[in-house]
Amino acid sequence: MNLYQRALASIVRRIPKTLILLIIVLILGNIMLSSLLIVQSVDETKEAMLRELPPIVSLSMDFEKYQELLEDGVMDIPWITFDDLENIERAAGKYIKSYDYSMRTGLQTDSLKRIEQEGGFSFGFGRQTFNCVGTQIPLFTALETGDAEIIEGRTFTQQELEQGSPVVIMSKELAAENDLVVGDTFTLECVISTFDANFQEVVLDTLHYDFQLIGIVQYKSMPAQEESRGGMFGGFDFERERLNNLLLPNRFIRDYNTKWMETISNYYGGAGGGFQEADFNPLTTVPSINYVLNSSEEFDQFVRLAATVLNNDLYVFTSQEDNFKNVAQPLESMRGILNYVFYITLGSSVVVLALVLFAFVRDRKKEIGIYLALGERKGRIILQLIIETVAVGVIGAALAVTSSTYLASVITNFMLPTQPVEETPAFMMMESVLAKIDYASILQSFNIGLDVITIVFFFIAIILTIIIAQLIASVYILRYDPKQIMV
Amino acid sequence: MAILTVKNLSHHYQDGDMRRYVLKDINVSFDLGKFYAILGQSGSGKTTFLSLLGAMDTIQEGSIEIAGTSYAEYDANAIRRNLIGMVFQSYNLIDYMTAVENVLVAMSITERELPQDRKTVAYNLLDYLGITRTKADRLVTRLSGGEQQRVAIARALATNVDIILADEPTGNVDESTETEIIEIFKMLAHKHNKCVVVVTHSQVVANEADVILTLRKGGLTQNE
Repeated sequence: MNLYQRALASIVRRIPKTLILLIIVLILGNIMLSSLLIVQSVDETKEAMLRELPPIVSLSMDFEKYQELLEDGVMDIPWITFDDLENIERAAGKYIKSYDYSMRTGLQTDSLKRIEQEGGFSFGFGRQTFNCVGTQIPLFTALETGDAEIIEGRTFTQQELEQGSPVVIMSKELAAENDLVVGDTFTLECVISTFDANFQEVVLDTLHYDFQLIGIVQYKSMPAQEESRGGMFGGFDFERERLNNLLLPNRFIRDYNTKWMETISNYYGGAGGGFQEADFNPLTTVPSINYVLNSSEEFDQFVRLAATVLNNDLYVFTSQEDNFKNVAQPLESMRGILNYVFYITLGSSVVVLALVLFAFVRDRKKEIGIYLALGERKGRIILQLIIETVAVGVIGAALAVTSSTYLASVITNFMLPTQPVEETPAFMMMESVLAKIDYASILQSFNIGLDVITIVFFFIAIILTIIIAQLIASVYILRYDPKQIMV
Repeated sequence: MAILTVKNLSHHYQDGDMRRYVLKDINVSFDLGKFYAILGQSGSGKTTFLSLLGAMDTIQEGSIEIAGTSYAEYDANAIRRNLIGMVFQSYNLIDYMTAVENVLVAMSITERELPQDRKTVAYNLLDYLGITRTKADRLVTRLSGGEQQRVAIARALATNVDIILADEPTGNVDESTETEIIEIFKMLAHKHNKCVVVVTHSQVVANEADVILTLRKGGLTQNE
């Protein structure tokens, strides 16, 4: 009857106590493991989705802060400058693979036909208006992120970008609408106009640009947007509107914008003319500066350095991870809650198991005294008690492993809404290079499953908890002489 | 030959600032082959004395020697494990084990050399003390008080020690069982050359002993 046989006899012949311990471990183990499972599944989903996305950090204006500045009457808005961009590149260049930004302007012309919306929207003074989207580098952000693909022709050359050449890339739909193929040249008459006192259009100038179509792109579809089709933009299809975009070198847009403002300014009587100095900063039309990093793991280092150099809290850096957290808000909330649940359960398990095992050991005080009276070593008595409880604990933990996946699914179904709390509006999704993650695809990727490391970690946690609890309880009793224990 | 020698043994309990001695300057020796009975009123220190002999309590003053070696030179656990067998009034058997398993527990704890086939030895020992094979395989809670006490004696003997200490071994049994247990102790002392020391209230037990010792006011006297 060695100590292993004694432990086995104790387990199988003291069924009620064995069952109590088993049920406690099963319940605590289930809560602990299912919360851990969900936390891990959220993390794995995030990691898996972020792995698929290019390591992009977007530097953009904090619009809430901007609004606050305007409301406070602050005139001197700290716009980002080209010097800022150069400083960031100098300081954190080792993390940057490339960076791009897109200047914007609108061209009013009758020389091109737009792809119209079903609702019959039109912009400008009865003319066709095209949104011009600039780029700084040949492998511009839309190409880098896979948001667009050149299906015919080519992208811009560095020389075209630097010189601001009138070369254009457009969607295959817009090219087809205007019977254009790669290599065609076409002239755009671009009208610069304003209002007079009677709100009548006054044409100030008409510029003629001979554009060459150098490439045709196909855009990747945006995630389904149900909510944002309604509201203030009800019926407007932003995805369709994107087909009208003319992709041009930033330099061209910058020159056009300068010309436009000078013309307007001259009309209103020279310098000023209703424009602020900042309006002549081309970067004010840029929604975001998009940095493609060498690795997504260098995000923190890059942002720390870049933010220090920029030193402008009107602008914020946003990563794919921030974007994921924003879209996957319900998952992140659930993760947060269950993370606490896990640690609380882990702590409670130590306390509950310590109390239960202490009660059990007290109940076996006489038996322990008998072993001591027979000359058994204290260490071997503790070992026997630990073997008993660990054996029961391991069985309980094994049962918890099998049942926790189901429990985690139940908790997830209970806690997780099937619709996002707040959906990214379509126009924001159009503008952001990051906002290509949608809630539905996150839910689709979300998969609760156990991996070996989690199981091993869980067993170690349970076994350690039981050993610690049993040690505390046993040492408390065994500090006495056998005579005192048996009294 | 004295197997157990007690020299100037004193033991006290602290009662506030007062030291109350229950044992005072006790000198006595116990020989192999003899059956000793220690008598005394309740609170006279009988159980304390037996606990000290059984290394279940810490010696405060004086010394106890076993075969000429002081207890101080041993680990108390080792004394209980290898040199002394204890029998208690309330049997102190492990209730979820069978009779034979209780005996085997003691055999697994001791470091003394025992026969290989311990289980057979345990069954034989129990049988020798009147516990049949069928009863030996029963949980001890299903045995009578007398049978449980026999199992407890078998457990004390299982390690083949020379000294058996018993604390009121007949306190919970009827008269006929008391007689049977006394016979067992006499047999162990006289036939198997054990030193049997029994603490008891019972005059019947005392009358059968070879030596009667009485504890009174902390002192131990031998009755002639």
